[in-house]
Amino acid sequence: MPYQEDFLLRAYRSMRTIRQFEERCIKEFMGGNIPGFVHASNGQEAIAVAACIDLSDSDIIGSTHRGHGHCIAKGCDIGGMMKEIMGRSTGLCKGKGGSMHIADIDKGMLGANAIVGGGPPLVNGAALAAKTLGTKNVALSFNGDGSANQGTTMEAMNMAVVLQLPHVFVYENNGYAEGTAANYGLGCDSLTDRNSGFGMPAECVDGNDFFATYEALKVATQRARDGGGPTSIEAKCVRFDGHFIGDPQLYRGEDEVKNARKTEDCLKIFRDRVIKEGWLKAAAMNAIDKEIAAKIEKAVADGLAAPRPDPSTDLLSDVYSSY
Amino acid sequence: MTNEIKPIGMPKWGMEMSEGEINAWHVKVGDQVNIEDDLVDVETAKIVNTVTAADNGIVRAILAQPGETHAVGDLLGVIASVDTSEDDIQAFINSYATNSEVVFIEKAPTMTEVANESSTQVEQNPSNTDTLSGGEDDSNVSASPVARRLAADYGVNLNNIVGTGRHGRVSKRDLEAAVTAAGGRLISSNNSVPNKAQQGDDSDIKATPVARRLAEELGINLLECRASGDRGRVCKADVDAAAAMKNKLPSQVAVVAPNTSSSESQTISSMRKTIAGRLQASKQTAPHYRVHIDAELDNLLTTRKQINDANTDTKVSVNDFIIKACASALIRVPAVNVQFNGEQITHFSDADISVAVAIKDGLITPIIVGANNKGLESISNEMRDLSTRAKLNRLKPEEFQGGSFCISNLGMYGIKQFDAIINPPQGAILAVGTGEQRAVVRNGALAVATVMSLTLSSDHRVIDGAVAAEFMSVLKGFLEQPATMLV
Amino acid sequence: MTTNTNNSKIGGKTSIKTYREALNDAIREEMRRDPTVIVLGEEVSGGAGCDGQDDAYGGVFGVTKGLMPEFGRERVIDTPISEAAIIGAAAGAANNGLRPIAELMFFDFIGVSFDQIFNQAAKFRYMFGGKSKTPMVIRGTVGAGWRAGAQHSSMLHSVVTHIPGLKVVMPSNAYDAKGLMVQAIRDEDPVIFLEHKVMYNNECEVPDEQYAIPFGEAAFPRQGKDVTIVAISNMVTHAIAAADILAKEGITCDVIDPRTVSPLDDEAILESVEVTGRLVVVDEGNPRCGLASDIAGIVAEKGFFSLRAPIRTVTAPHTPVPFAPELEDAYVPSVDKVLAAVRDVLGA
Repeated sequence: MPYQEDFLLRAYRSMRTIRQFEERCIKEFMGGNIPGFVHASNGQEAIAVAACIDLSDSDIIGSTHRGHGHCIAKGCDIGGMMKEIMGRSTGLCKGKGGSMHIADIDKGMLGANAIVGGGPPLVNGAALAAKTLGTKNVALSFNGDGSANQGTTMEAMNMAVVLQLPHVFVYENNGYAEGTAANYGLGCDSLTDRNSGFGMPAECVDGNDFFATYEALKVATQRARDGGGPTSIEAKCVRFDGHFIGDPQLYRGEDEVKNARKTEDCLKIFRDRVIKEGWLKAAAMNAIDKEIAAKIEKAVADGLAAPRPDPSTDLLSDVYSSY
Repeated sequence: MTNEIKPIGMPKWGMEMSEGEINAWHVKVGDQVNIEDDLVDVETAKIVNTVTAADNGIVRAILAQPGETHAVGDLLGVIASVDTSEDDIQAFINSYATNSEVVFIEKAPTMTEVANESSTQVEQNPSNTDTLSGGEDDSNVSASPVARRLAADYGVNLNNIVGTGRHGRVSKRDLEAAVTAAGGRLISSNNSVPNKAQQGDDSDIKATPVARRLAEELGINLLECRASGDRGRVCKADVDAAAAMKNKLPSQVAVVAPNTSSSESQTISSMRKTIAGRLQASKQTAPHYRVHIDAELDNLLTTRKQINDANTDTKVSVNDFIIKACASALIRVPAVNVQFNGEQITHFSDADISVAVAIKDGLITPIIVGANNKGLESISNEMRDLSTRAKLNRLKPEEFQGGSFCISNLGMYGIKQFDAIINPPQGAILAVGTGEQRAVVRNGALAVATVMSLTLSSDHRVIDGAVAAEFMSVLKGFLEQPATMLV
Repeated sequence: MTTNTNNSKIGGKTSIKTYREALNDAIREEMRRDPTVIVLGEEVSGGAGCDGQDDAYGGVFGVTKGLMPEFGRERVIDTPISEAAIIGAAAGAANNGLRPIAELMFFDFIGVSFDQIFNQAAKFRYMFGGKSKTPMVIRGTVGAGWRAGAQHSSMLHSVVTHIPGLKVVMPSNAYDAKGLMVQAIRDEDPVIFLEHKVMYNNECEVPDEQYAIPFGEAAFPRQGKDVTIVAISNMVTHAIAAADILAKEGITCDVIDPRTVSPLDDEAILESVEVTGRLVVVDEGNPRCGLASDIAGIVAEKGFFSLRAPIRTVTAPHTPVPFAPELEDAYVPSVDKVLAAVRDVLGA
């Protein structure tokens, strides 16, 4: 068996947590318990987990506005996440960041970034710090297909090559930059080809296939850790929900999502594979499903009961370290 | 032809200048002048400066002679071309309207000021505001919202006003210039401080009675004052502040004479200013007269000893007795227990006694409220507490503002007798001297007694001589026979 | 086409429109009238290259809905997510015969495009001796109140007001929005047009015909003689509410909506302060180097002797915009804070 049972269970648990967390967020948002904007990543779980499963807390990831999955895959506490998304003072960011700015630097999660293309230069910085301090840590940025066209992303790629930084650029190409087709916004036919033009190894994988994605990322991450510089991994996937929760998604074809849930669900594909290969039993995964359902339930209950921030103490704090 | 005639006017150098004295002319009639040439030296309260030519031309008339004082805006001379007829020059001089609204500002004009100067050019035949009120519907005339609103107040039709404001609209300045040029008077709202062009009729500025009176005494125009009082009124503090501002003019800096021993000048503190202002106002306003009586204190001293021996906690002082005696006397002769603000007399049913306490750099008068209802021990404790806190600057305003009567005691310095100045709006003040052994005559024989001199200064507007005398007589009685206060 | 001045409204047939619809009107009519007007930005139509509906968004706030179906993708251009390239393209196109309306979906995205705005578009006319013109409009959505978090809720108008060469417009209602947008499109200079995100559904009577409101002329939604309240964008609503509460107590206010921050109608403000002597400035921006301090400074310098009390400003605090609702609500100046400031300057 090429994969340890423990590894497979961890992978499944992580993906399943993301799936359940996101679908519960959708429900809670529609129920009015979550303020502001939320961008759900259900459908894209495999990439997040494949990228983060071998990373330690001192490896760094940077994320996008669609960052819950990355957060969970990197090991952030879902209770603290739910409280943050609900705007409570005991959330990961004391309620001051919300869904789009969820972060936990102790776990190596630099933060969700609401500015498209805001992440890559910062992750370059994390990679630069690792290289300078000789820590052997790697940095990984998650990028959407839309952000590929932002100047900052391209500048970061070039600089990562020039400085040979331990930065793995992960592109989650879910086919849509908000409400515009990925292909429309990309002048070339293949993002991977364009990225290799920057001077780094570039590979395209099926993001719905956990194992294919994992293998590619394993190589890229090791390359970075060994001082071999940056890599671009484009993983094609599907997002099951809208650009934001509540998006009417008029730009998607009829039944597009319904069909995708049938044939392009990375969790289903994982389950089917591990059972077929005899690597895991269905019962084990079902038990995990139950366990996570309970955990999510608790996270939501705790979130709803959590205290709200107090303007008289919380509004003006944390602007500076000293002033 | 008349367009060629240019006035030489008395300029306005700074906000406070209202007139200037002609010192010396640099040109004479017939001289050719160019723009910025020196014309005439003018001296004001603050500076000596030179009026320069604003136009090219020939000096055709000089109207203001050295030594003469002229108001800002007055015509000092005329510049015109060599061909302009004398008749035209004379007509110009005759019809020159010297109201202070026409000002010549000697500084680089901003864009809007240049435009406004031309729009405030003197009319040859000034008309009245009736000519500004007629015209077609002006709702489409471009005007600023404030100008439009004020035009309605003035009854002026905007079609009659030249607009030099933003984008050529009629501005507030355009409107006011047109109104004053046509001989009208600008509406001074309660909230407006006049611009440089306005005269200072402050009669409809909202002010407290005290502030208004004080402003009159000090020669302050209420238009110059902040209005920080209740409901937007000018209050006394605002008048004080304006007075203080006035006293800061550089021309009033003291000149130190040479060859004197070293001395040091410093600006007085605001407390000192307040004391100075109040007491000066009091002396100037209230007609003070004095009634003097001596009281023998021997009985009082015996009583005091009895009380203090019996009471180990509090030691009452002679001054505490005086406070109590005054309070009792005020109840007996209530006509002295009054305040007067120049218009209204306020009678008090209790005696709130202000006691003067010397503090660093000045004095303050904490109040024993209702002293007539308090025993000597209460009075003593209260006085001790107030006096201590007064010296530490920890009195609350209500503890020293108010009071119906004041006592000032300089006895501790050995002063035999003195006169005090009334603290307005109180009606009277008692000055207490030291108690000392003096020779007295009793039944035709010399004896020795402890005697104290008391002098009451009263405001003759509200306290007549007989009343003051009666009060002092009663007070003497209480001091010489303290037991009678128990009745 | 009539030009509106004098703080009066133009006549003619009107209907109730939302802020969003008024903007849509203005842009559409200008695009019909002038073939050089184009619209570009992210999701200004939406659905490009997708299998679903065309014009899927019409702008994420719906302001440009219906334009692509009428004018086609040559004139209503969905772009990749590349703000610097979008703004730069608009500026260059403006130099060369087009009148582009470029959109920054959230004005916070000015960050990634700032060079093209402040170093390029703003400076062309001046640097090139008056020969170059840049008749472009940059539309951006500003403001807090939607719990959108720190990177989607900024105001930032004071940053662009500070830059010479730019004009900055912030309509507070649907009527002004339409008239100012028409003026912005016809203006020969780069105009930053800032729409507050909570106002898109606000309605009022808006004329059906096209009209332009000149820049630099303030509106006075309330008039009075006791206090001057200057407010901008969404704060105008608060100022009006405060003025109406005070009117019941016999205190009347001049509420001044400058409508355009650059150029600023300082004359109207100074005139009002000459009458009232008291000034409160309300601005949702942060306090340092902000619009409130700018206006306070102008009045302190040019209208000092009119003042009967110190000027009060009411602004957000010196923090980023917080996410949690309780904190965001404490961040944005409220009607109560405006009232307290007015009572303060009245000394009441």
